[in-house]
Amino acid sequence: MLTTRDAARLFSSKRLTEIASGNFDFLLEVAAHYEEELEEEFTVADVFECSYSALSKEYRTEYFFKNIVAERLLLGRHSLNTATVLPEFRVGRSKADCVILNGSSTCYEIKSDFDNLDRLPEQLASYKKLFDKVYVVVGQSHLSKVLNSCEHDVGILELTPRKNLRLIREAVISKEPVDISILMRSLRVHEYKEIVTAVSHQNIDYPNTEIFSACESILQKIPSPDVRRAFCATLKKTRKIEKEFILSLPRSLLMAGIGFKLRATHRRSLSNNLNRIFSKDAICITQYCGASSLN
Amino acid sequence: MYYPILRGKQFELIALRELAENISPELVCPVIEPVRGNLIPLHKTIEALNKSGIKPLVIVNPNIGDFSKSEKVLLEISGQSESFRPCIKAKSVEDLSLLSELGFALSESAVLIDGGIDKSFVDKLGPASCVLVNKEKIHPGALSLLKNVVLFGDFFDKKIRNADYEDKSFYSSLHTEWKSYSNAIGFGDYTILSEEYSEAGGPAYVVTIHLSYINSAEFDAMYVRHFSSFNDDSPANPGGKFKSALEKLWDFSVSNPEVFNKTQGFQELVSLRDNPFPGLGQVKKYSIKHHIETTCNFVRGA
Repeated sequence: MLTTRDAARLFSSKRLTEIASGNFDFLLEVAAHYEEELEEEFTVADVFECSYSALSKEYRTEYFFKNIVAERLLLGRHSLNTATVLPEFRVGRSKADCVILNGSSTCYEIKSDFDNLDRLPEQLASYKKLFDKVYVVVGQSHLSKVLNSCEHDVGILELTPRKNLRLIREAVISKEPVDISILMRSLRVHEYKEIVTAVSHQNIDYPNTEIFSACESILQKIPSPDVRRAFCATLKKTRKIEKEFILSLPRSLLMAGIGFKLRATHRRSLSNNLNRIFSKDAICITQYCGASSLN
Repeated sequence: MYYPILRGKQFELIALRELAENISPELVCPVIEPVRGNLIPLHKTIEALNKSGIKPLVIVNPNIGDFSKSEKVLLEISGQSESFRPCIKAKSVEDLSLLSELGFALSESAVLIDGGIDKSFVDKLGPASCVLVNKEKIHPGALSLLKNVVLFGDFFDKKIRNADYEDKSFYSSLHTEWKSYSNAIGFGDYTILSEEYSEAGGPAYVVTIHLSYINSAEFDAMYVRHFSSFNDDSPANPGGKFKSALEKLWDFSVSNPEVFNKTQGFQELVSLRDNPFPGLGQVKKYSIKHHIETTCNFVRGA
């Protein structure tokens, strides 16, 4: 039998890809774990919802936090037409958990109750060099520590027991110059080319051995507000999320749809497979199979 | 005779095709282990080698890359017996029967020993045209009983991260000593790659170019020089990093003109100065070519 902790792995790229390709073994194991909450006949999406609500009650993982941030802030406050999310965005030696871009950039660093705060100062220091606003999102257990240790320009959001994001402290919009060295190393070639073209009005044509240093030195001379604007405008295009697909998923899979890199064929089959119906007999059968394969 | 063992990845095969006209069938016999389900590039490579009179060994029961998942693969390679010599990768004596399943006789085939070798296995190998064994993984007693032996080893001192390479590393002295084994007909290596097979790696924080050379001051032992780019703690700017590694190589070879053989691979590599970065696969290709050519030069002179 699985534990809730095992079942939480349902929200992983590996398991989602399995389900997209028609392998329901793990899903049915999870279904067996939540058998009491499921109807006699249930869909694949029902198992996700069950599992997600168990996460909410007993085991708030980083995925759960991210999904709430995406749900409350991206869908609740912005529109998918004008805003986008960057999941796992490289910044220096760190990876920002969740960055929302509209006219400006806001970075959300998640510290669930299971996370350790050791790297937080280094992470926040890097994020402040790039983004307009930086927030830490915490559960109750880290709240006071984060409140006491983070600098005052860093905003704080608390994920409440009722799944709301409570604003503890507003982030201050950064007036610092953008760290061009970090910015350049966060981007793909076509992205920094586009940013440089936009801010310098130059035709960017260099061999691939020179383009990085050429773009870097051009950006060093551009005023930071212009760079910040062009950064948002460019990444909103290049990292656009697939609105129709994301909205077709159950809310529990919002961040999975945004963050996991599924192939186009898997995206289509996932949407279909989520509606697949199983009955509780199927759980019993697979459990029987599981038991017999142990022999 | 030198038996470089190569995996049939794109750039390894291209390296062999480009070298075909440049290497002599008297000196070298490539061993190719297919790793891709698509056999067309392999066929093209065999054809190119054949044109120069080279009949490579081809492993007909590959088990890495695309072939790692399936239980047992026996390759049907077109052209058959005229164009290549079949080679069985054998974990045990039972694997020899795979040859007859494909219609090959042991006397026209090679066996690459992939695991231990016991007495009964030794007894069965008598008729084989060629037995490739890793010198580190065979008991001298078993080795002494074999005939037509090709000794090889996994010599390249591979680091997990390019940043970890020092300026140079010892490679091997097998090319100087294999002849002291009276039953040996040649020696082999995995060029500047390692026996452990890997699909394309992740993004590299440092670009490193590997170049082999014979160290005459050290009894002709082979060494590899490693030219690494700057490290900026990010995978960005591979082109600029390649340029920096290549400049180091150039500066070194200008100050030490006697170290590297001026092989085709070497010339092609240095001609990339002031040219665009062609990608890491190409760079690896030049290093492989240079390694094989340098070893052939040594074999020719020895």
